[in-house]
Amino acid sequence: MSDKKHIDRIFQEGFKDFEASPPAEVWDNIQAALKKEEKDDRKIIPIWWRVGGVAALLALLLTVGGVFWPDSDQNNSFSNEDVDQTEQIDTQDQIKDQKAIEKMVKENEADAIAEQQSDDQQNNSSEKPSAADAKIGNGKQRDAVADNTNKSKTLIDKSAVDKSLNTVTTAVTSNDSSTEQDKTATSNSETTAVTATDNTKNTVVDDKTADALLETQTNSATTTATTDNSENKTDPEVQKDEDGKISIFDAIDEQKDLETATLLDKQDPIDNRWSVAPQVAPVVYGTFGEGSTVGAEFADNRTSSDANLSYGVQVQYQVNNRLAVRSGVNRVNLSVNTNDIEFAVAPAAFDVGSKFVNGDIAYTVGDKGTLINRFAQAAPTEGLDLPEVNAFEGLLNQQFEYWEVPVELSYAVLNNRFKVNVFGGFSTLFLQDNSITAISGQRETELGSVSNLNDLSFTTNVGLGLQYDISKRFAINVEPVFKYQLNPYSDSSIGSQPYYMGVYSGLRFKF
Amino acid sequence: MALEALINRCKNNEAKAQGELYQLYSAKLFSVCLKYSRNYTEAQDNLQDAFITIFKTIGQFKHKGSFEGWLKRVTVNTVLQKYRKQRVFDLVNEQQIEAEDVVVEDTSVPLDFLLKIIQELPDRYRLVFNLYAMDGYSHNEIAEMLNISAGTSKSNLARARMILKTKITAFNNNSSAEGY
Repeated sequence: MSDKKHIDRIFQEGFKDFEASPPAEVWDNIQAALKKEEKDDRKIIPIWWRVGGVAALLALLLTVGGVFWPDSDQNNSFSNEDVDQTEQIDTQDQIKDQKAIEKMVKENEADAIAEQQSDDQQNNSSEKPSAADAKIGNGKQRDAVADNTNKSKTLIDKSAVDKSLNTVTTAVTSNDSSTEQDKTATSNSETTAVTATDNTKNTVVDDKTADALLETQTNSATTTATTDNSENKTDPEVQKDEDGKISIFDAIDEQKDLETATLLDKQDPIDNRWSVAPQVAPVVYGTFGEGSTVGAEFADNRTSSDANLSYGVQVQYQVNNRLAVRSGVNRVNLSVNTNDIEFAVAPAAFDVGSKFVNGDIAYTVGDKGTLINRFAQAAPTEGLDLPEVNAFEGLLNQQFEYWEVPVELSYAVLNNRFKVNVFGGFSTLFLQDNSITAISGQRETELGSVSNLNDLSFTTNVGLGLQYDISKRFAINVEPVFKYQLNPYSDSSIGSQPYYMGVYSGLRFKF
Repeated sequence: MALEALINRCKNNEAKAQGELYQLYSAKLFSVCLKYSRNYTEAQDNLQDAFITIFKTIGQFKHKGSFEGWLKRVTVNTVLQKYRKQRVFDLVNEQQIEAEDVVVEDTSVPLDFLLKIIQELPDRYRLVFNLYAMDGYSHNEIAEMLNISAGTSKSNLARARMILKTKITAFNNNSSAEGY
């Protein structure tokens, strides 16, 4: 009949301009799927806020309460009245704190709005963005969880309402916009027209797929004829509050405000809000004020500290681009030396120095060079010889092991690939173990433990976080932190106010 | 420029922009889906999934190269992904045949018929034929995409051509017998 042709060519030519309009339900399904995902994304935030709120409140109560924790010791200096008063002051302080926090939040928002305004002014100087922005600001305060698209919508709505008081212009501009929409409609009907002509060319229509194709094409032909209008109608989100208004808006304002709305949208493109960072730090223990941690007798002794290790996991939640809440669990080992002491094995009956009992052996510890004399004085004078006392000079090494649960707020001062954060907060410390060892040269003697430590204590933390993003998901952290211990000792006679410092480093994984 | 603005609006998840983008490209991409799928319903599902992927990943489109090309690639990959999950490509021990030039009478075969016989091809033959003959991928590229060897790709193409040729010949004979 005609020439031979390579089979690939037949298909290539046949399908060159092949287009087929999919049935309308496909778009409905796509929209439903997209919306569902958006909702799923939103759900996470309110739950977090609730849980986070409870956690923050708990931390605040525990910490502020912990300052005035009633000591178990009898020689507690607070009378009941005192406690009452301090509690009152305490609540006042809390109220003040609350106000201060609120003020801070407001200021932040003011900053954000100010930024927004300056952006706006760059974009369109003739507009009056302050009023609109103020509305957004209000919206923000009222509903912190509301997502950005909502905000931008209220913006659009309000400005649209403001500007379209005149119904005549509505009629005119909606005509305009319908012609605009016709453009896309015609592009569509062109494509259907092409396929339609294809169809008429091909006379054989008796198999299933052909039937199906034809059916849908005629379907879509009729639907596309009507859709571009009905498209908007079937789209509930667009239709509800934007349908008519946005077209007026387009016509009047050439999308300038839409651009500011999208700017608003852009403000919060955080993909991975959660992150986990295993971290490790050398920590150094120190004290303000006079006094040894072991007892009043050693108050004027020199203390020193070895570097110890703290390690743990930090979990962080990014509230917005700059603000983050974080918590976690750390194991903290602290160590402090009290120098210039002397210790000896001695009968417990002697009321000399500080006594420690480890198993069957009683140890006595005193200031350097004092023990022999004090034993001599304490020894019964008649009938009995002075027991032989071997005193060893050295130092006392005290070890504390805590589980630490921090609750901190972090703010990004510099927010690039390289981030600089300042953060502050509280930690709750659970005492796990403590031990005291006397060290004299090569000799280390385990003395037991001290009982003047609180099982539950607190620290206030401030620190500086340096972070470098290696990739989208991984970042390196280095964070020097200062932690001030609020109530480590149940014995109020100890004047020392301990703190510890560490440089935490770790690898952050965002998800 | 207008397209770029539309893409940017889609990047911001604007529902209206997404609708416009769908209006612009759904017919083109649906034709891709029809060619790569087993039937009409499956093509519909694939188009749906392709667009969801497109809207989710549109942020990755950097305005380099053709946007339509990008859309087509995402669509084809969506289909391939599905077949990968169904382990369509895991066939082994297939006897490979040599590729040869397959020619047929150049009669006007209706598009519907061509589409039908493409869809009727075994999955892998259909994909290889589409990728090679229609969309211009090389055998090496196809081998990588389908996780098969280049030899298997060539062999599959040859088999696909032969099946298609048989059907077209039969169709031509039929229609000439019926007096078309």
